[in-house]
This record gives sequence, C-alpha cells and structure tokens, in this order.
Amino acid sequence: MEVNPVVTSVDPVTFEIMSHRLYQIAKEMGTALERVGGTVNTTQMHDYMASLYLANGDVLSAGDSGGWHVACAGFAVKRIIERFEKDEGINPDDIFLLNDPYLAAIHQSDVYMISPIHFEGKLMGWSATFVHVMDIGAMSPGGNSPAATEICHEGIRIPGIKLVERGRLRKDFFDAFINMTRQPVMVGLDLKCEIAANNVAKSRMQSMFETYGPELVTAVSSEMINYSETILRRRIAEIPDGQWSDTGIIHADDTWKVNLTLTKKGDRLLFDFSGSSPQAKKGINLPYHATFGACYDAILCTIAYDLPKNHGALKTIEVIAPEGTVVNVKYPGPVSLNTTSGGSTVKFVANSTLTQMLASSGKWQREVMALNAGHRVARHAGVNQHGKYYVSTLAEGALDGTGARSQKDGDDTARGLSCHNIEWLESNFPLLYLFRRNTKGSTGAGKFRGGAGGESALTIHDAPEGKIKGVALGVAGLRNSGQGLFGGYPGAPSLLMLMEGTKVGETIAEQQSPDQLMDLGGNSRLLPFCEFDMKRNDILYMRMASGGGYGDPLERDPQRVLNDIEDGIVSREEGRVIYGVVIDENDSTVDSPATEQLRIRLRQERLQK
Amino acid sequence: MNHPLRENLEIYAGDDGEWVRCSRCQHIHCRADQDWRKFCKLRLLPPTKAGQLMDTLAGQYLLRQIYCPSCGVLLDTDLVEENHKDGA
Repeated sequence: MEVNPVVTSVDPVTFEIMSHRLYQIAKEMGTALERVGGTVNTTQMHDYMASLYLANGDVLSAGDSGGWHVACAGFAVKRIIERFEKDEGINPDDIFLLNDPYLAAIHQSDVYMISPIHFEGKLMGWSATFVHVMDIGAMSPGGNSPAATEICHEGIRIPGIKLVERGRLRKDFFDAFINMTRQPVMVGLDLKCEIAANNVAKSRMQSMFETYGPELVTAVSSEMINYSETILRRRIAEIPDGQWSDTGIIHADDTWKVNLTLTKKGDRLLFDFSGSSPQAKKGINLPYHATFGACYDAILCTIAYDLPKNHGALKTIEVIAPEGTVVNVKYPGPVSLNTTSGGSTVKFVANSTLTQMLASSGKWQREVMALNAGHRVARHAGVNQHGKYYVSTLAEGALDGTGARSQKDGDDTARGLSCHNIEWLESNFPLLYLFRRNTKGSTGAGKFRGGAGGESALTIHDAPEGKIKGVALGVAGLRNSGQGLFGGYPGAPSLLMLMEGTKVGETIAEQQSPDQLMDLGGNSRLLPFCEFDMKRNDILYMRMASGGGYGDPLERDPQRVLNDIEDGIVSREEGRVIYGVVIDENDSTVDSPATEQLRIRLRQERLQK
Repeated sequence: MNHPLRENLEIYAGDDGEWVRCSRCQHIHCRADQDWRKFCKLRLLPPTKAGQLMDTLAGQYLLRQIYCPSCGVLLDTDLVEENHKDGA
C-alpha cells in the first residue's frame, strides 16, 4: 500500500490488522468453495467469486476474486434487500439464491448465493458467492446455448428466493432446482459449497464483531473504502485529462461491435458505450450491471491493482450503456454465451482505453500491457467410461499467453483462471489428450513480445456410446485474442477446430505418437458458436490466444531475438524479416553490423511503400 | 507541459500550442487536438506478415501498420477488416 495519510479514525496498526483479516475472510470463503465443491469449474478452474458487503450492499472486501462478479454480486445484494426487507424479512441464518441476469447475475449459470450477517440481532453486512454451476437446464448441456434466441431458452432463472430459511435448508426448493438440470448431484454440490462458504463468512465475521466490537469493525470498513477511493482519485487526477476510444468486434453469424469512449476529467472516469450494436438474438449480450462490473474489473486490473478491492473504486466511475444494445440487453434478449463473448469484448475495450490513458502519463506508462480480447472454449457432455451421464468443461482458456508489457515480455500460458489436470480429466471422462503444449510461432512480435498461448488436442476414448456432445463458445471473431500495443504485432488467434475421421486410432494402435496433426488426415473445420458431435477418430484441436507484442519489433534487443530463435519461439526467417536481426550462420551469434544495416533498410522500406 | 502520448509519441508543448511529436526523431505530426494517425505513413499487409498462424484471418482481415513518416518507427499495428474502405 502507499504511505497512508488517509485513515484517520482508526489507529494504523489496528487498521492494517483488521483490513487484512477482512481480506482473509473473503479468501477463506473461496477455499471453502474449492474444498466442498466437486466440479472442475470450482475446484480446478476457480471459476467462482467470494466477497463481503456492507449492510447496504456496497462492496467491503473481495479477497482474490475478480472484480466483475464482485460488482455484480453487489447488485444482487441490493436486489435481495429491495425484494425481501419489507414483507418476508431478512432474518439471521437466511441464505438467498439469485441467478436472474435481468436483476444482477451475468448469465443463469452463475448462481449467486447471498447471506445476511447479523450480530446481536442487527443486520451488519452480507457475504456473497457465485460458482458457475455445471448445468442450468438450458438448451445445451453446460448452460451456454448457441441456438438460444431468447432468455427463456437458457435455463432456470430465479429472481431471489430463500434457499436456507433461519438455518434450515429448504429441501423442496433445493430438489426442484437441481432436478431441472442435467446433473442434479453435481449441481447440488455446487449449491452446497456456496452455502458452506457463506457459513464460513458468517462465522468469521461474527467472531470479529465479538473480538473487536461492531463499532470498530464498522469504522475500519468505512476507512477501507475511503482509503481505496481517496488513493484512486489521486492517481486519476495525476493523469492528463483526455479521451480514448476503441472498438471490439464479435462475430457470431453476424457482426456486432462494442464501441467505447473513455473520458478522464479530474478524478473521474466516464465509460461511454454509445454507438454499440443493437442487442443480438444470440446469447452474447450483457446486462447493464455486467457492463458496469467489467469496467470496475478493468480499473482493478490497471490503475488500482494494488488497492484493497472494495466500493471505493466503484465511486470513481460512471458507465453509459444504451438500453437495447449488446452492452445493456432488454428482455427477452439471450445472454448465456456472454461471459466469453460480450463480456470479454467489453473488458477488452475497457482495458484498452485505460491502457491508452495510462500511457499518456509519465508515471504510469511503465505499467501498461498488451491486451487479450478473449479465446474459444468448449463444454462436453455424454456418457462416460463409468456408464454415467456427465457435463463438464474443457478449461483450456486458462492457457492464453499474456500480452507484452512496456518493460518485459509476456508470460506463456499464464492468463486468467486455472486449467484442469489432464489425468484427472481422463479418469473421469471418455477423453484422451494427444498433447498440451505451448504453441510455437504464435507470439506477437514487438520491442517486447507476447507470451505463447497453449494448444491442446484430444480425442474420445472408451466412450460407451461411441460419441460425446461438444458445445463451442468463446469469442468467435478471429480478430479477437491477443492484440498488439503501440506497434506490437497481434498474437496468433484462439480457435477451435474439429478434425473428423482421422487416423488417430490407427496411429495410437501402432504405438506412434499422434502429436503431428497434419499427419493424421481427416476433414477439418473451424467451429463457430455451435453444438457438435465428437465421434471415434475425431480430434478436437484447441488453440488459445497468444499474447500481443509491445512496441516496434525493430527496437527489440537482438540478443533477445536470438534467445527466442534458440528456444523455438521465433524462426530464423521471422527473426530476419520481422525483427531485422541477422544471425551469423557459423557461430549462431548476432551479426551486429549486418543487423544494424538490415534495420535501417527495413525502416526505409516502410517509408517507400 | 510535455508528456508522453504512447510509445514513441509525445505531447510537445511549444510556444504556439501543443503538438504530437515523434519521441524518436522529434518529427512533429500534428496539433494535439488532431488525429496523428492521419499524418503518418500507412501500410496494409497480409495478416501472415505477423506470423504463419495468422493464416486463418486471410481473406477477412489485413494487418494495418502506421509509421512515423520521418524515421519509419512503427507506431501502431492492428487487424482491420479487409473490406474496410480505408483500413481505418
């Protein structure tokens, strides 16, 4: 944290101890989700959120959770207060469930669980969690439904209900909910891990109230929010005023654009999405709170990355998102594909405009980073080798390479959530991995280059029905994925490719390694948003986004280029043509005079054409 | 007051107003309230110029590069739709 002249009502030592305890409580909620949950989404991908809120729903502490859902869950708390406080009441040990995207959730699969925290009979605050449940009874298994044209196609939608009433699980509703899904046992586990995490929060917060007294906890809570807001406003004010714009593109049968202009004036930020495309009859649309939350998330990733995550950062922003567009969907527009399409795109343009803003500041330009606009992902479902129907996720999206920074190269396969363990997946589902590795020749060139994304290929194995069903989703526009920054080249785009009728079975039977896909034959096709069947001898190839580069490749240190050539990241030809680096054929060192001459020539060529 | 605009570009405060300037060669592109891109050298290239794995974009996108017209430093690289009238 920065030197702290802000906190005045609590002594600084007590403030540090208690604010970090609030951070740890939110983190411990996440640990409870992982330990009680059972699906790949929760236990391996960490596709969840756990955070604490004030009594009015303002964000108090978000642990390590991403800001997007933290903001949306704040909306969920406020909606629960509005709905229940007058008539049915908000009682100790109640836990509410809400997954309505028209109220607060992002899409139905993200089921929020919200718990009031009382002390001595008084409502003191809230805890909230979400996990992406394994199924939600939508058209497609897994909840993301490419064919859905309205929200009623996209599964169960609950505007708020007491799942736990005064400490007693409402078994009637619990059973009704899980029985509307394709995987009642796993979804039941999803819901119970959320109950457990909220119980952890309640227990720890009540212990804190007993130890320190509610007045001191309340004072520290206020100071935490004040601290984040004050420091963030100072940082924003230091940056020159201005406007920055970008446009994101989503291809899904048609083309949709997300336009954003960021205006920075004084210590305020205005995100204006005017001019974005009308909403789609495809689930790429975002509700307003999700667009707002994506902007909050972008702030936390750029200029407030080291500040306590709470409502303070929210107070500095305003978001304009015209109703009836892809960034503020009206009923009955569908939303089930939105997190990895509209959401990725909104987060991309929000980060892009903030990055341009930071680059205009001598103090902040060192912090900027080339950005990623999303990747393709897939869900899979069918009968497994144990004879059970299942639905699950291929979590390769975690294997994006990160973009380059203004001071360093991007990291390989290092972005976002976590990726599942291959052995775990193969022991539970009828799939066999052919490989998972860094993608060669994929990184965006630049003064600093992007990180390599991962590539995986898998086929079905020991599937009783001889096939499984897949659902392809994620940002479908190829322009998306890793974008270069300030001259840096884009990284290779993410894609999903189905190779049908290959020789993979024969190759494995001959005990040959099936790691060169070009040798395996078959008919290949790129998968848009769609359901698809995966049969014997079919291969699903998934390439994640590689990071974009930063700055002019002709300004890259030639020795770094040589290192990349030796590591197989860049070919000699790319080293010469893109980076202008000449390698001495005799001793494999950089030929410095020839490199200098080549770079001069390449710059001259740029001006001639 | 001078301040950066982005890598290799800066806002230069002269006696006659603020200007966008190349921080590598000091070439002045335009006034600060103008779009500096319109005063630069522009090239549209096949997407595979950024690497062979960009081949899936061929026929849909072009690699647009913008250079300082004085020293040739690369200021911006982007993918633009191939049918866009001016690549902007």
